[in-house]
Amino acid sequence: MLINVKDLDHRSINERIRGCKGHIILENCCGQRFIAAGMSGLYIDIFGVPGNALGAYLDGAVITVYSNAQDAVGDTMNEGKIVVHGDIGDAAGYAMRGGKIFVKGNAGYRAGIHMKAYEDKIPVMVIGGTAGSFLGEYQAGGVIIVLGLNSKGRQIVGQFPCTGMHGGKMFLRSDCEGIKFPNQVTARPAGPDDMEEIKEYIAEYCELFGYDYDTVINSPFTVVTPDSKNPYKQMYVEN
Amino acid sequence: MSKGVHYSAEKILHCNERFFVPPEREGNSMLEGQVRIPSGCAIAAVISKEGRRMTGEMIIDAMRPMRDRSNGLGGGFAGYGIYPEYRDFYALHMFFDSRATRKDCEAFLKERFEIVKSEIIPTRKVPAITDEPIIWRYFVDPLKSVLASMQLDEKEFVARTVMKINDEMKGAYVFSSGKNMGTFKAVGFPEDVGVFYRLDEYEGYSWTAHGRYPTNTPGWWGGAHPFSLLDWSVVHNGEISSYDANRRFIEMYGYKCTMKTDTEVITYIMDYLIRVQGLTLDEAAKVVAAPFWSTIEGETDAEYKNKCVYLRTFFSSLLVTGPFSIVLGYNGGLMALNDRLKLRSMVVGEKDDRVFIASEEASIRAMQPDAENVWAPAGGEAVIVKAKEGAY
Repeated sequence: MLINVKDLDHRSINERIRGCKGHIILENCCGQRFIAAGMSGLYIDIFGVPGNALGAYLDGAVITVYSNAQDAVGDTMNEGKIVVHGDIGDAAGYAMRGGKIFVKGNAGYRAGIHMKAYEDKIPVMVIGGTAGSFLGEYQAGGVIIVLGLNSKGRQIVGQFPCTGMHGGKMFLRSDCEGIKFPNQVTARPAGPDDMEEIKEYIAEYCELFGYDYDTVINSPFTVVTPDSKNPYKQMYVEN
Repeated sequence: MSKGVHYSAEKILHCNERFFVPPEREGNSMLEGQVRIPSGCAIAAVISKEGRRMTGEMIIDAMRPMRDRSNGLGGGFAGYGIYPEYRDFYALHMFFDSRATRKDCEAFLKERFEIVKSEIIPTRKVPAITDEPIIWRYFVDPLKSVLASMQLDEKEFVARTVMKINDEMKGAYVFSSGKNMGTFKAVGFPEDVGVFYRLDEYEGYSWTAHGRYPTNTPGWWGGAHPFSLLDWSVVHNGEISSYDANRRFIEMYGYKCTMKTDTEVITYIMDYLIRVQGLTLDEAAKVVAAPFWSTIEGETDAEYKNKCVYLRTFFSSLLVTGPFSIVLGYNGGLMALNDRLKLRSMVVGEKDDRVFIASEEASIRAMQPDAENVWAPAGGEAVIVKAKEGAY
């Protein structure tokens, strides 16, 4: 089902999508927000730049974007998958508690902010390029992976990564020399057991975007986890 | 965008009420707060580095995909290079609440300026734009005799005159006062405001635009962006937590915050730092979006580090905190800047001689579908784009 969304607002687009089954292609997208919000059981391909909060509260649908995406992709998503064949704006995966986000290129600020886990759900975000500052801010669960591919000399992550992190895991494909982490987290070289946890996600990334798995995985990774012996006691108020 | 406590209540009482109160706030329509409006202000800009002029249609198109970011309580534009035939004269764009106010103001202007041309700013009737004040423009040249007697340079004299009118003359506001540039603003959505002011009939080498979603202060004609003084114009998405600290400091130097919203203080800060204090654009950016002390601490370049320390220390009251993305327009260029935490979005793209800046990539695509090198500047990273010298 092909829908030209050129002159449709976000409400009309979602109404049209809700009436569909199976595989949908949206073309001429330009900034409409909330596309596929809360949806399940659909495959949606998007051509053109979708607006903010793409796939918010996503509940199982699979979205593929063939351009860049804007802010707050996968905001609070529960299940499903979002694949972006370009870069992604700020606050990607905001508070997501399940599902996967794969970004071929770079992420803006605050990717994975307040990502969490819920019962048996473990959200996963794989960023192929580099990530901006405040990566994994207040991360409470789930897995964030940054690969640093085609980084063109940029650091794999900007300033203040993991600020307020108190759960979940972050993997950076780098020795992280020169990157300053807060005192409340532990950053160490990833061992075989750590890598075992993320092999399938990296394989899926390579499959989606045509990278060689061995080249990507055979490289030093740093794994960051909250330091349970030294937790955040006082970010804003004492408790 | 909006936050401010500096109300000039007396002035409001004496003015045409409808000039200040947008129709959406009257009668039985729902107010924001009673109805959820998912918004957050929108900014956009385009400049030709070759100084090639474009009509205002492109910048109006830029605002269309971002309609959800505004709520119809303010829209505006600034165009540079739009008055080549009057390039040597200050173009004063003004709102008046009545014909009598205009007559009084003209008498005042004639004591200070030679008025080369005086006319209504042409507008179109647009159903969405209502209750407009009297909108006028004057092309003026300061009287040499007055400059001599006041011992002021031309720009300082014009700036002081603007402050005097906005602060003291009831019902009269100068909302644009630069040479060969002009600001156009109203209560409404920006796409409608652009049509209202017939921006398709102007040509400029650089344009900025704003769609407003006022959060803390009234949506009125003077409160729409851009905020302009001399050739500076500022469009802003965000809110200034440090507004009152900034205002108190800048008002010590003769500036008056009269527009009942926070953004105007950024315009005055830029005028003060760059025109009065002689800082570069980049240095001014380091004042308002100063790097964190922890970041400065880690700097290895000693000279750069000293400069950062100096700017943060000397102009500490001009640090602008809270979320913002702004575009500063001036004769010959644009500067885009985010707060240092980057709490608002902003992207930049380019194509041939044009550089595009917007809150959202969709806006850039609306101006130029095949724009290249679309990227997001880091927090506090000033992006300065200049038009070729002599081309504008």
